[in-house]
Amino acid sequence: MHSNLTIQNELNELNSILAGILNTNVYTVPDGYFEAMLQDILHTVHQPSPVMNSNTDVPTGYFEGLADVIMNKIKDASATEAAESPLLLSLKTLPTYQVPAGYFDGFSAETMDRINIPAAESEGAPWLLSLRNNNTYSLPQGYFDGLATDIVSKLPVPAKVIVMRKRSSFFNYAAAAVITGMLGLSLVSVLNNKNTDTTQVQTAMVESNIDEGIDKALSTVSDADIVAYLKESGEDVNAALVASVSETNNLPEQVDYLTDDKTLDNLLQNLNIKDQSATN
Amino acid sequence: MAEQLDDKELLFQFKIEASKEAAFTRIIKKYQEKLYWHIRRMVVEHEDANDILQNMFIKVWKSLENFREDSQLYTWLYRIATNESLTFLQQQKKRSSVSMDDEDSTISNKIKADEHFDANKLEWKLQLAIQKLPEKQRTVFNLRYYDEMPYEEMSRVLETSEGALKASYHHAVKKIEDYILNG
Repeated sequence: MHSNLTIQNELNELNSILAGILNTNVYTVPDGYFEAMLQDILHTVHQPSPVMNSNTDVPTGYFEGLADVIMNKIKDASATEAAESPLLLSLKTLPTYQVPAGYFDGFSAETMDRINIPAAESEGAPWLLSLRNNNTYSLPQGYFDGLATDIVSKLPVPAKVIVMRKRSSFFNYAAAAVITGMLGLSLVSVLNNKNTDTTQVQTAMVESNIDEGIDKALSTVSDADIVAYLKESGEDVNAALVASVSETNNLPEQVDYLTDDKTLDNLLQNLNIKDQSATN
Repeated sequence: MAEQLDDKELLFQFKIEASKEAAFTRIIKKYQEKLYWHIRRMVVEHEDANDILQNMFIKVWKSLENFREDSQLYTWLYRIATNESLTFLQQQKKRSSVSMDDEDSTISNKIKADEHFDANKLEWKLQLAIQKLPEKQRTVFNLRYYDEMPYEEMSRVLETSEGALKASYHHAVKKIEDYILNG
């Protein structure tokens, strides 16, 4: 029977014969064991750790006694071996195989000689070694002096790299968006021979060849001039700026404008567009 | 719950230099017998159990300061004791380089060598049967049958699911029964 009811019930459920056996402890310990053990542990944990040399991480004096320790272990091992099997020990010293007389005397010198022999000789063709430094061929005098220059002069000319003007300024896009609309009006104006008070932007635009692109012409105009032009033309500067960047940024859905008053403000903020009408 | 609070207090005292040794002494006294018997049932011989217990407490002394209290002290100590015992058995197996059958007989011989051993007594047959179990199954059986440890707690000690532990215990009971009846 188990003293613990839960475990007894568990054994009963398993229909095990263990349910009928007492869970007694069959083992014993020596008298006073636990008291002595406590003292042993406390004594051990209070023993000072060996002083370690921070550079070597070995106990101080470790190497002084190491040779003796190793020799003693070797002697002990030999003694054990002898005690366990005197026959094997006696057989160990008897040489089974033979080598030519004086073999080991010249062994190291012979080995070094073989290491120092070049590959060709060691491969069985010593005559190749004597020919190795004889140059059979000749070349024009001063050949190597002009070689580097010759090679460099023959290198292909690197293709001309045209650096494209960075088109990151959204003012250019803004102006492009508005000017694209204005272009038609301007052309009509020119065709009608009407004198117009063209600003610097219009001048740049008209002067530019349309084939070269509006961007190129606009790149010569400063952002401030573009904004000034837009204001002078009675355009809503911010609306123009928003329209100009709409190609590179996704505009919010219509429903967002309807449900959130701040949608446009957030969009402007995200586009990093300052209120140009206020600043200019 | 009271035991848990006591352990927390002991751990607190251990972290104070002035009360460190006294706290550690109390921890040893509190758990030494439970842990000793847990280890002894695993390794059978007193000398081995003694070595393992002392070594584990020395390890505890060195690492208790860093004990994070994620688990209960009691659970942590049992886990160390279990691991140390299993490691000892593994090392013993490697040293002896014997087959599984020989290993069984080695442990059985250790039991039979006990001065109180009586082959006719059922409780000694039970010990022989327990030693026939695989090591982890033996651990589960001992923790449940002798240490009366709830599965929930055993799950934390052995880091195994409760379901797996219950299944392991039931298998162990059936194997032991089979050995006692037919062995």
